[in-house]
Amino acid sequence: MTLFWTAVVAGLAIGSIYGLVGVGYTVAFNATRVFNLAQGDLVMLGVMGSYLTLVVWKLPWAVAMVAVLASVAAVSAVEEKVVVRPFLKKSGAASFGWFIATLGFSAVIEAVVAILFGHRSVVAIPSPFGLRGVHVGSVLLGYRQLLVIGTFAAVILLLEVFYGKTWLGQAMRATAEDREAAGLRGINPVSISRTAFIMAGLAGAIAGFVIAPITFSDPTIGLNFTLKGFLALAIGGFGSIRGAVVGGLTLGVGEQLFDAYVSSNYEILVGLVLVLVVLGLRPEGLFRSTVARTV
Amino acid sequence: MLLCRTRPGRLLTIALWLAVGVLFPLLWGTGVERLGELDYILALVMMGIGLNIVLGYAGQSFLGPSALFAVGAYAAALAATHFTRMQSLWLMCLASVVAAVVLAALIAALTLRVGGFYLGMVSLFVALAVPVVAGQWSYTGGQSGLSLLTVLTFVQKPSGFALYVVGVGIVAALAGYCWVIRYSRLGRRFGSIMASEDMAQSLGVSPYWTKLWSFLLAAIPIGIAGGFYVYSQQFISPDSVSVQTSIYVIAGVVVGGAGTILGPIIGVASVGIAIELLNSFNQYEGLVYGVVLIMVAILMPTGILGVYRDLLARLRPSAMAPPPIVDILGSVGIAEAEPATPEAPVGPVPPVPAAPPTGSGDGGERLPLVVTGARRHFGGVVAVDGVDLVVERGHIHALVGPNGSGKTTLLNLITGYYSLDGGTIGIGSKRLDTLRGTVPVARLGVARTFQTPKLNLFETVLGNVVAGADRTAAGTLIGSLLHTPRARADDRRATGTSFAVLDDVGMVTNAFDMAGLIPHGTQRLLEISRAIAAQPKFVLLDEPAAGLSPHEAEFLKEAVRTMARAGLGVLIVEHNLPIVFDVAEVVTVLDEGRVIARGTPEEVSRDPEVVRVYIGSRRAGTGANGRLDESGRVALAGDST
Repeated sequence: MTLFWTAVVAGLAIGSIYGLVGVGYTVAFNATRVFNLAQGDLVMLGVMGSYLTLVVWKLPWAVAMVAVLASVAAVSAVEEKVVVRPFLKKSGAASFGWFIATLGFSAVIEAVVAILFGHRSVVAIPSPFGLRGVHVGSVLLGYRQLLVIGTFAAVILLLEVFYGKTWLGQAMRATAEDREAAGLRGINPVSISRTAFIMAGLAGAIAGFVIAPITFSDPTIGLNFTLKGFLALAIGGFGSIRGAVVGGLTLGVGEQLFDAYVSSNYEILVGLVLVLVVLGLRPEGLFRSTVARTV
Repeated sequence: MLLCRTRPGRLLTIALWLAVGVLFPLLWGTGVERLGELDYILALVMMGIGLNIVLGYAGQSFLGPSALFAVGAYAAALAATHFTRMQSLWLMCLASVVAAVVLAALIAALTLRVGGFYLGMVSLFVALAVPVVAGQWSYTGGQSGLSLLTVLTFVQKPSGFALYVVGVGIVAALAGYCWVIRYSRLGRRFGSIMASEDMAQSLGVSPYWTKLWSFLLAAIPIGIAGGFYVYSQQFISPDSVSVQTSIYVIAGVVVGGAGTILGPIIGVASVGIAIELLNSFNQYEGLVYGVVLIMVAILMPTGILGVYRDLLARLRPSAMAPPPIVDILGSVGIAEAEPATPEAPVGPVPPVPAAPPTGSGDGGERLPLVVTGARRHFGGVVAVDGVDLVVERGHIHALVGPNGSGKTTLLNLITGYYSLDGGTIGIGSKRLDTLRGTVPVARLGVARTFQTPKLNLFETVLGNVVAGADRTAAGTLIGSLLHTPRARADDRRATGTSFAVLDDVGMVTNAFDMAGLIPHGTQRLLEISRAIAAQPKFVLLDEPAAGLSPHEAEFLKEAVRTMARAGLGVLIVEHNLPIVFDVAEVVTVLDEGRVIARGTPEEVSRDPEVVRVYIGSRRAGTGANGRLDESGRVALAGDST
């Protein structure tokens, strides 16, 4: 059973990251109906930023964290202004221009980081916890893993409160429903979408910052996060925070169990199989409110 | 293409492009290595041609062409490795096509029902996964891949420059393949799906099957690309089919102009050339094409070819000739069919049009559309509560009532957009409510329009109407792809019907305008024309008069009367009471989901219950949608909301 529970804990940690990417998507999507294909690259920026601030510049943890969070959020805000907003003004379901534009932005981020860092891999950053942890039975719960899981839980709680209780959170949902109508009710759609992208950027930065000590990284890992985060949402359901949680954790645990018991070579197939199973059984994902059809 | 519409001109353009393609190595270099680079670019171009069919024609966000390419290329390499007999270009292409089509069918079957960006992301993920799996599997040679150079019996023939020319020939043939698809009935269905799935369904077009078609047709060029790649490079490895390949090809198609024929070829070729040229400073490559993607998506969403066409249209408006929506090499020249009646009729009374032919095959029985006890609730709200309704063929039935009274819901129930919670809907004894969804209802001859017109805005007015007229085409879809005599006859008939209908509503002079550029009121008439052109038994109009000018309203009224004269049953949901009372023979009034009155316009307008509802006496003075005239009738206050 040690193998099993070790895999589950590792899976929850990895799944929390997938979940955080999924949350980033959801926050931006809920306000703009745009699926930000650069979301995974924001996580990559978080990882690389941690490397730069902690290993190269040797800044204190708190300063490094603030710097990473602020700069990734700023990149996300720039993305909103340059790449996303032009498409929010136009309507029309046939337009998938934002798909192409965010894909392009993702390529730009990746290329810029590659130019700055070279194509070298960044080794996992030393964690303040080292390899320590608590033993539960024979299973070691690493503090680094617990930090990731705990951070994820905290982010989820904050967002649930944000959407449920605050005016801004509800205004965001209203804006996604009907940008024009929201504008008429005194909601400024531009500031809403900018705020949403800043929040999505923060989610990506947080994910990158907490995962930096447990992962290897290079500029190309962004696409992997982008797609795994999407798979998490496809499993859990689009548009809800809960969907991102369930989907992310399911995917993470599923992958780690597959690695432990079958083979880590074909890990990539786990997500695909899970998504196809979910699509077959419940096409709207595990958690998704059905949307009434309007003609 | 647009430069020369006449046949000799067209042939000249094709010859010119072919010459550019064949002679390009003189500019690029004719060494083995240089030709190898060009062969690679050709493979990318073939992939782009395939991607364009699903992305540009059918509007499906398929983002993983390299997955199909990879599977096809591996299949070809394995075939050539294990079977001496398979070691020819054509058989390797065949093996590749089969593998690609199978994978495309799998992806499509599993993701198309949910559609949207599910398809995009899942396909991108498959493109990521295929090389990873190939890199782990010993059968596919793992990371080092498969090399045909180690297969002693494998001899490239054709090779070198000859092989390159064959590749150019394949690209030309695939361009023809696109042309055949684009200007077929199936191609028009792709356009409808891309514009709006709700609209497509109302025309009897099944989104699922149409999208599946687009996938299978797209997989063929992508498969050929895989076969050509392996044959020309004699090598395949996970690195050569990475997900980046997909992104390059997507970039090329979008930059060139998705949805056109030449655009993707030019675009992907440019991207391919750029990749080869930028190879020496690798790390800036991503930056360049990322920026280009963003700029193209924002500044020129129609791509190079789209911009070129817009420019051409601005410089020489006459050059924007009608795109040939029917087979122009066939006997119908659009220019000949264009009637020479340019002046728009201004008088209030439009010409009495010829009756459009009615739908055939009902044996002259003229069974009515019958709704019995229809019920539908949304959560706790009962939108339609036990409504009975009979629409007779050859009569005009109006459905009126305050906002939220359930009119549009009833219309959506009849056309199968919503399912019933109780009651039945049928034509004679044929039940409509037990059919699966909208498409079979439309195919039985129930046409509709929408509150907000749903049109293919990137198609001409004529093209939109032809999409409706296609409903009664007799030939098969495969026949339409092959442009068989029967399919051509179908197209001619559809075009003829469409012109006749457009003539009836006074829009024939707009026939070659883009549907997105005509005024809103005219768009409504266009939507009605499309419904008529489908030659239905019943037409359901959802607020057809909203936003029409008085002049256009006259055409609307006349069109409605014409439909009834031609034997169609017309159900018209409308707020504009003057128009309703003018044309309708029977009026049914709904309030809060129930029928509160029914009769002739005269009877209904005197009904005290109707008066109460329209005056809003329960909430005295507020919410009045009408007013009483001196005789106590509901006066004709139009409510255009």
